[in-house]
Amino acid sequence: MSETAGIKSNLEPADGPQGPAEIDLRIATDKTAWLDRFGDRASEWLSPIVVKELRQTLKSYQFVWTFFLLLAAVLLWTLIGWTANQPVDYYTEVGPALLIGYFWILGFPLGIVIPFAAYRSLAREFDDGTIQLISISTMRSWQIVLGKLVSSAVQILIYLAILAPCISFTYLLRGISVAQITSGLAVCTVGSFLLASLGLFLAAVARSRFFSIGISILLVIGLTAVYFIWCGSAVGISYWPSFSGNDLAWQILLFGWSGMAVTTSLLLLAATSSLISFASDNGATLPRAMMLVQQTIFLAWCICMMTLTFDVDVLIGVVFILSHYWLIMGFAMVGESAQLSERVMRSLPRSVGMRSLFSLLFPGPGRGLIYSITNLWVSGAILLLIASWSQQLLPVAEPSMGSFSPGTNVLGLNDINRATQGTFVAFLYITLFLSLMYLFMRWVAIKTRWNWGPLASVMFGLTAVALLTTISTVLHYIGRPVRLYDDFSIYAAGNWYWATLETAGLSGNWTGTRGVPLTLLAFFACPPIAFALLLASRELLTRPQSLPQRITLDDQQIAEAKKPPVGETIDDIFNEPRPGDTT
Amino acid sequence: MSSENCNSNDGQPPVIELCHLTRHFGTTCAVDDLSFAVQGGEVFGFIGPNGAGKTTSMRILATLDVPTRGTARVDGFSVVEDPDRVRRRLGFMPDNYGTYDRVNCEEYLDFFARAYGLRGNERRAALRRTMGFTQLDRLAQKPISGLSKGMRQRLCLGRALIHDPSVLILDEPAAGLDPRARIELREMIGELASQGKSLLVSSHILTELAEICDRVAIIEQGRLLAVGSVDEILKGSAGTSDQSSSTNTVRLQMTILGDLAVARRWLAQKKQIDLSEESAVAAGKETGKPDNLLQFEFPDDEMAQSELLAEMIRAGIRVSSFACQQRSLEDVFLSVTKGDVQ
Repeated sequence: MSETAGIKSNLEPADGPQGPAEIDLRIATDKTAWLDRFGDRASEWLSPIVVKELRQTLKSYQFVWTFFLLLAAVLLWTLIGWTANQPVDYYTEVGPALLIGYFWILGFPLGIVIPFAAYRSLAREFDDGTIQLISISTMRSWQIVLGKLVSSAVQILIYLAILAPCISFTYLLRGISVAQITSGLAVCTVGSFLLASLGLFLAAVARSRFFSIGISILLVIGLTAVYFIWCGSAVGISYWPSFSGNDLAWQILLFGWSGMAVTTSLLLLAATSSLISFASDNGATLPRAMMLVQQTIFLAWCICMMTLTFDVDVLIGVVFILSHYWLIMGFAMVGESAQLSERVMRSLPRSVGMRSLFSLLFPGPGRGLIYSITNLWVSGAILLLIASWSQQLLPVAEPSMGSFSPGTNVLGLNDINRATQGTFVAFLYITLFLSLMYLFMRWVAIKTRWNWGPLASVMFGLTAVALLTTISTVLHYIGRPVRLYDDFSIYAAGNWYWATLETAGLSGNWTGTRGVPLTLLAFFACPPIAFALLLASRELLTRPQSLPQRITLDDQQIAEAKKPPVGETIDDIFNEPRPGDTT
Repeated sequence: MSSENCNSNDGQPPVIELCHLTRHFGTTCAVDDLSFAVQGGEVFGFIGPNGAGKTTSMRILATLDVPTRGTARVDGFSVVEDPDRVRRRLGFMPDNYGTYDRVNCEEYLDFFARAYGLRGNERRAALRRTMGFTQLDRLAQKPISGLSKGMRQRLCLGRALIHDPSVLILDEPAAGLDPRARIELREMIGELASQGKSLLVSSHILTELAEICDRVAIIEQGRLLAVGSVDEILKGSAGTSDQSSSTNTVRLQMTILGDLAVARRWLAQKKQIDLSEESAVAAGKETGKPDNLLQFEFPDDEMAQSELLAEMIRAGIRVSSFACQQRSLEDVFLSVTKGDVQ
């Protein structure tokens, strides 16, 4: 037989004449590998990425070393803690001292190792080109990202399992409540999820090997810093004197932290998924929906705070947080491509009513501008309404530094007016910045015939705002000797922080050196905002496209293929005549 | 322009269709107005020098990139607007391996089977079929890092085949393989073609493409230079999608006794003969051509060839050998392309 003929004979397809049973595969025939077979069947419903990641991770040196180092550290700390506290542990509360150590040990894998491993996991997919092979499979980009996070979650569970007996042991040593232990573990676990999501996001941003190295270094530095912050927090959690799970302030803080960490994590995952998705995919709806969820939770948290106690400074702080949030998100959204892909247009809601409700969740810089501005003003209105409501319902208390007395209101009517003025000016600035950025990005896209994307838009936008704020402040101080006063001036109008605080302190006086620049700002801001909104609103007129005939035909073929053969449908089986039937 | 009038066909819708495909990277035009079609069950060769735009075109077809202009369709679905449907029908084998550490062959293929949505017995059957076809069943438990280049190439082919696609795009599948591995790969491609799959294969090993391909396209600097069956290409009758050349030529080789310069001068007076072509061919190949050998392109017409020989003899030019040589794909490639890169 010739060599070629020999090769040919080996190339019979596996399901050829011999049939698939003749191919000897471990999963099919090895009876001793029952565990493998069990795992194979149990993993059927898991994401492929989770299965692959776990196969890789559990065989990696990084996991093995971390696992055994963690075991050794826990054992060592337990021995040190136990022997050092002999014999006082019979009559004093030594639980907190030991718990701190366990939290410190747990913080290392959860705060540094797992987030960095998540980052490297996705970064290596880019380095090796395997991300392309996955992305041309039928998996969605969010499945890829979620799979990576779930594999991080499994590692978190393994490390928690190592420490669980020791942490339980600290409860027996007194001085620790169950609420303290669970809160500490919850903060640590949620924080680890957040950092792992951040790692995945940064890997998607870096893409190239060059940026990947730089971001790796920055990430390690950042994670180390976070680890030390966690070490400090662990002391606070373990030694919180009045903490017993019923402390309202702690509960609100924990709710705020968990809510923000979980929603930020989800937002980062949505953004990562969007970054690695195909060009014609709808990469906007998921992040926008997550922004809405995050804002809702944040507002709920603020309302919790406000219904308990109230202070105008807190409200202004919240306004600043919201302003920054929508500034960044808005900049990202106005950097999107104005060209809707045909497949996204096919998925637009058919009815006018649904379209007017959900159109803003679809991609496009105009929709992004309107979405961010709408969210900003609506959240501001809700905040002020709640503030006004709490001002009417809660008994007024004298404001004092650091006061946190549930059921009191330190806002007077005048304070509500001041907060409204501050909110209005801050949001006007943000709306102006977003509108100008929208116009700028459209102009750049037309001039360069290239869509620069959300990341470039955020970088441009934030740099421009920072420059404007700095230049404005410098100009103000240069002119100070001439003006002979330090108050807010027309030169300082570019500094939106200062302008907001000044307006919040105006007490209804809209004339003079403070009021005039702000009135001018409101006057000059309106035309560009109106122009940008007019341009942006054209995107809302986009109509959905009908499905091409080829796709309708394909859908029909798929549906036909899924149908059971004639005689095997449920109806056929039930309607089959039986021997005793007369008709 | 609609896709209907882009590539002429005999009524059967093409499985792969590129229509005025253009891709810019900044100021560089990687693919420039490229149009061709691949019919069902066809093995289509894609030839071009490095940087010609082959990989870019293939990446667009594989839904990894989007064109700046033009359309690309697989089985009637746009690669930009319906990538999910294209992905179900298409297997892509890129020129880099894309493998994972700490994963064996079976786990690797199993992962991609799951990634293509195969579950349960369907997944296990796909694994058995693919590993049997690529003969990796004996290496199922071997880590990928321990595989030879040829075996890795088989593994990557297996990955592209795991969901049993009807269309396969193979980017330089034979690059870096030893002769035996190349023969095996060629046999596999033949086997896949006999199963009715359509294949788009790029390669630098032109002799192999000539053997396995039904049709071939030659591109350079992103532009289509020639497209047609291998015979058409060799005869020079193939054209681009826009135009076709009608000149069928062969290469004439003759050995001259006496003064070669006199023969050259005489031949240079003939309209059909371009002796500059002779030097271009010689420069492109190290043929070891003897000094008194002349070779040039001439119409593929036996009457004209015999007439030329008779005229030379009448003119006193002593010809000791006169042969007509069919061009190889390499010759065509060298004569059609300029070797320019972008």
